[in-house]
Amino acid sequence: MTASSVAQTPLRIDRLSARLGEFHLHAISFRVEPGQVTALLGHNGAGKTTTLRLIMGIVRKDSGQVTLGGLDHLRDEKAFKQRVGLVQEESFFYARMTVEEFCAFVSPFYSGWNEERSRQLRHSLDLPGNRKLGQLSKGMRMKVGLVTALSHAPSALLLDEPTSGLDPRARVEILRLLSQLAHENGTAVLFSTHNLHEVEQIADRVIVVDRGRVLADESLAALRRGAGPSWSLENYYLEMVQ
Amino acid sequence: MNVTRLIAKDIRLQRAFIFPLILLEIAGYLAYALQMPSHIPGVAFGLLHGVAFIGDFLICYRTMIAEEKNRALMFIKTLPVSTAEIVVAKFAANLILVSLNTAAMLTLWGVGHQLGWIEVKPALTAYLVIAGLTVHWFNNAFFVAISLAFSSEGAVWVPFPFLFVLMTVMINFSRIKVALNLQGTVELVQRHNLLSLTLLWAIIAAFAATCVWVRGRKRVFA
Repeated sequence: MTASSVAQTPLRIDRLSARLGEFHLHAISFRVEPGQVTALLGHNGAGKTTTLRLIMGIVRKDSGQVTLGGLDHLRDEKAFKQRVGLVQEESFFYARMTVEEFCAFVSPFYSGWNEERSRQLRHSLDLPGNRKLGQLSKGMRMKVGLVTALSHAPSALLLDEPTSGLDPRARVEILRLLSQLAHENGTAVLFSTHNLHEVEQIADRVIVVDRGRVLADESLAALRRGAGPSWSLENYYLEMVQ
Repeated sequence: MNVTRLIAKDIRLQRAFIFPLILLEIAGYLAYALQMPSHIPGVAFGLLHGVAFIGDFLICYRTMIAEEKNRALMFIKTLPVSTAEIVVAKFAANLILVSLNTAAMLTLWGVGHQLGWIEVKPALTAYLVIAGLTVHWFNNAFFVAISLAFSSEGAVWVPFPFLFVLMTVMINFSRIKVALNLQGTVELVQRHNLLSLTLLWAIIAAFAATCVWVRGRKRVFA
């Protein structure tokens, strides 16, 4: 499997299931296409974070498959993670490390790490390299997570509620960046959210999850085309989860 | 290489902690040693190791609890590294930090002897250094294994009953030896003293292997 063939293939989630205490993820399947922003929409406890963690092997699955261009997320764990980036909601790791030290720690793990790209990203996101992670706001920490996830040019980027708790400016910047990544760089972007407005703003596809099940997996453009002028994502979502 | 990077990260994160810890231990030991009545000098070397034992625990606690609390372990799991690499690196980083800590305490003893401040036995030999390091590696590896297999909180609560059992065994060892007819075994170990160290090294390796297995089967890697 070459890097370019991996870059052109979708992230496939096939009948993925897991049980975590009372919570059960019921054999969910979907695809995250390259060049598209896919939103994983659901309220708190719907299974969004668990799904992202299952994809990265942080949570152990009971059954199912996750593949990216023939790379299995567990069998080919290292090769898979070389091509997938995850930005977690709580990205407050090493408070005493500066942004530059943190990037220097992460970079050697990735064969495709591009230091120039990393520097550009830090610059464009206004990240001060000499500031300690513990001194950064939540929005800034999310940006650090984005820098490390993007500097190795992943084929697929997963984000767990990337705009949760961010100020409006940081929110707009991050949403713009995600859209740019998918539509200009061809990255397969999957982000979890419970914010309907964000989905309408940047998503090409929406996957509605509720109580560990996928209730809908649709292209937003197709939904808009197929419905009348009164269609709204809010009504569609409420209809699905009820 | 991934293991080396993870070890380097732990050493770097703990560099601001390990040296004050060593100084505190030395100061604590000297404070106790000065107050020690002259008729119990036999416990001086034991006390030195007792102080270093506390250091073994604190090193494990520091390297494990922060990464558990701020979900850094979960973050590391998203990097292209295997569970085995994460576990082995954690054990190795702890062994290095514990070696620094133990070496400092043994140096204090050796220098004390050289300068004539410490007159009580034992004088430091190569075997005592290796044995001392091994015992502290083992002690720390026990804590690390529990915190990796369960949680850092587990490393606080689980080993203490074991420590009390161990202390009881040490205090009553002569009686236990007779009761269980272990004289021959003890003599064998004394004749081949590297054998017991090898056994401890094997147990440390078994701890690490078990942790890789347990971590791979945990529902959530955190």
